[in-house]
Order: sequence, then C-alpha cells, then structure tokens
Amino acid sequence: MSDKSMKLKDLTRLVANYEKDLNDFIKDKLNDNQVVALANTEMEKHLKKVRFLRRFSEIIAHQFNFPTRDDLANVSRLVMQLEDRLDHIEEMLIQTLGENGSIMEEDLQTIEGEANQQMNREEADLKAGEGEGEKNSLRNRVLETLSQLGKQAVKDSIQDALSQRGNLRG
Amino acid sequence: MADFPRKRGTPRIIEQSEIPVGPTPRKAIWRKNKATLWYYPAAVKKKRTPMFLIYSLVNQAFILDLAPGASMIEGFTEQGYDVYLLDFGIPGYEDKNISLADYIFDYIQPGARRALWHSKAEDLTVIGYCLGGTLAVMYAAIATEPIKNLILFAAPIDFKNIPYMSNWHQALREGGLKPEGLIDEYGVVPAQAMEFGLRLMTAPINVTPYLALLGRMNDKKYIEKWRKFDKWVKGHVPFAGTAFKELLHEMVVKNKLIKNKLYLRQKKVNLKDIKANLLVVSTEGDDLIPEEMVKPLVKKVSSRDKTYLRVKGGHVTLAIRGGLPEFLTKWLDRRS
Repeated sequence: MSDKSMKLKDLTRLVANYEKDLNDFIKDKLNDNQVVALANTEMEKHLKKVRFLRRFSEIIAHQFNFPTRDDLANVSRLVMQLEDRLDHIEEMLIQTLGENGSIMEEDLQTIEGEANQQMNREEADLKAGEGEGEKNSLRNRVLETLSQLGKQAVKDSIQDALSQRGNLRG
Repeated sequence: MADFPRKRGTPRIIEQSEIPVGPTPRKAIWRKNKATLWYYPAAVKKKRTPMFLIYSLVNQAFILDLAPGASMIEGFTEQGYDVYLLDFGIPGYEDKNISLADYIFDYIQPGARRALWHSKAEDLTVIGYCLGGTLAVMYAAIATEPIKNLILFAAPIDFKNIPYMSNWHQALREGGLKPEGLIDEYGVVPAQAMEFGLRLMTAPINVTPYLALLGRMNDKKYIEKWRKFDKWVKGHVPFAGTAFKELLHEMVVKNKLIKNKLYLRQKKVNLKDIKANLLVVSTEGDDLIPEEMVKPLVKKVSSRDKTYLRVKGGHVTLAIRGGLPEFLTKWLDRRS
C-alpha cells in the first residue's frame, strides 16, 4: 500500500472521529430551549413575509387576470377527481371481468367500437358548427379537446381492463 | 457548477450530466396522481407470493434499485419474486391536502389490489421502508386484502422516546413551536426544508463520504455508485402539508399509532388486527430511526409468527448492499 493512500486513510479516520464529536456538539447546542424559541420567532416572522407576498401576488394576479397557484391547484384537483372516477370505473370493470368469465373480449371491443362511433359522430357535429363565428369556434375547440380526452380515457380504461383480464386468465 | 481547473489526467469526479438510476426492467401497471405502481417481473418466477413495496414519503424510491449489484429489487427478482413498488412520486402544491388516510385508502390499498389482480396471487408480502413502513403498518391494520407477510425496515412506530432533539419535541407538545401556519402557507414542506431538517437531526457536518471518494478516485465503478447514492441523499421530495401536520401531531406528539388511538376516516387503526407473519428489522448504525422507535411494535400485533432482528448497517445499507441479506432470504423462503 502506498504511503499516500495510508495518509489519506489516517486522515479519513481522524476526520470521522472529529466529525462525530462535532456533530454531537452541534446537535447538543441546537437542542436548547433558547434555540427552539428563536426558531419559532423566526418562523413566525417568515410566515408574515410569505403571507404578505402571497396576498400581494394575488392582488397583482387579479388585476392582470393571471391565474394564481391556488387556481392552478384547484384545476389539478378537478383533474384528480376525474382520475379517481376513471380509476373507480376501471376497478369495477376488472372486478366484473374477474367475476364473470362469460363476458368475452369481443363484447368489450364492441363497446369500445360503439363508443368510438358515438364520439366520431359528435366530432363531426362539432366540425359542422365551426363556421358560426369565432366564439363558437373557440367553444367547439374546447369541446373537441374535452371529447378527445374523454375518448382517450375510455379507451385507456378498456385497454387496461383487457390487459388486467388477460393477466387474470393467465 | 463551476468548472475548477484540474491537474492533467485527474478523472472528473463530479460530472454535470444526469446520472441514470433504476436499472432493473420494470413496467408501470397503475398510475394515480403522482404515484406509480411499478412491476418488476421475476427473472425466473419461483415464488408464489409477490412483494408489494411501500417506500417513504421523504425521499425517492430509486434507492431500492440504485445500480446493478446495488439493488434490493434486483435481489428479489433474481430470487424468483415478482416485485411491485408503490412509488408516491414528487408531490406539488396541489397535493397539499393529501392526508395520511388518503395515502392509505386512496394509494396503498388500491395499489395492493392492483398488485393482487395483476399477479393473480392469493396474497402479498408487504414491505415498508422507513416512513413507508409506518404507512405499511397502518395499512396492514385496516387491510381487507390478504397479507401473508409484513416486513418492516427502519420503520418508526413508537415516538415516545425519540433519542434526539428532545427539547424540540417538548416544544411541539407544549405549543412552544408552531410550524402549522408556515406549512399551511407553503402547502407542502419544501424538499430543501426536509433535507435541512433531517440533516440537522442526524449529521449536520458530513465530510467523510467526500474523503472516501477521494481515496478511490481511480475506481470508476465506485465513483458511479457514489454519485448515485449522493443523488439520492440530496434528492428529498416535498412533503404534503396535511400529512406532515398529522404526522407531527398524531404520531410524534400524541404517539397515537402505538397506543391504538389512531383513526383514519373514522376507522380505528388497531395494531392487534395485524395477523400477518411479521419481520421487523432495525440497524445498529441508524441515527435517524433507532431501535426504541421500531421494536415496540412486535409486542402489539396479534401475529403468531413474529421476528425482530437487529443487524449491522445504517439507515439504508440493506437497500444498497446488493442482493438480499441472508437473514431475509431465509425468513422469506419458508413463508413465500
């Protein structure tokens, strides 16, 4: 073993010992009632500043018509609620498929096909109404996007259910 | 990061590029919000009971699959177990209202059901790491799903005698420390605050890992593993505010779990309802979750088959050592 690596090993051992002592010392000093009280006071001061900044940013956002982080969080929560519902439907599908072996995959594919046809018809209707002005166009685009999202979600649910069923059957 | 001048020929230790983790092949079989249920198929399936892994809310789950030869998940799959890992992901501000009950009833329980459906197994082995172990205990107490084995690694259950920062706990109990307002304002406890707080509780100064790295700066494999571990050490995630407040008040201050006084959605979490074969593991070098926070669970459950083991190592040593420790292989062999 080289002299250099021995020195480094000795140094590491030495530092490890001092490090433990130093850490114990710091933790001991931190575990002091005065430090706890100071931390609480500073936390309260910080809270006041953060609260002020939030209220200020909310006023600015309101004036400029920007969404605040709470607005965005609310939208996220709505998405999560939708996700929960889909999840619930998916679980029910898996359970039904698991319990009722007579339901064939073709039946599910028929259901999926019918859902697709229905959504295609709705899409065609939406496209037909596109010439009715800019306001309607925006509305249609939003509805179209939502429809596509819904369609995809239903498709995913059915596909997941089918794959889970495949696993159940082995 | 500043590019420091280096002596010619000296290897670059700290790279700027992102280092990949999680080498074991896997597939997402269920997603909810930020959480994912990952499926790691067994190399050659030999065991009937699959593993359902619940990781902590404090850090990222990739520590369980850090690198080839340093992965507990790889250890399970190589021994013929199918593995399901519930990774809670990285919460954002919009997740501030997620409570402990939400984690149990909306994430863990449906995740376990999915694992059962997917695996076609009759029952599961539930494994909880650190705070994930605490959640696993809560789940096991209310579960309607069949749990054959419950394994806990460094899971804090009894908060009566936390052997560090006693005055902080006292201040929390007596109202001298009130972090609730700030937590509400931030929505989540930021990742940096989590890292800072945990570091203060364990090792505020941490130089030796860097010296160890310096000593093996020509060992590429070691450097890579070191970087991956360092990524995990510094990779804390935000903690949902509501769940954090519950953890502080219901668990740390009132210690309700071990006293069988915890209610989740009006359902009592009674530890006596745990009947699965139980293995509780704590490590000798764990400064964060010492034995006294782990061991008391063993006496509280109804399981006939229960084992408590104290082994060598630190808080995450078992997860990154590579393969499965011998005691775990033996314990599982007879019960899977």
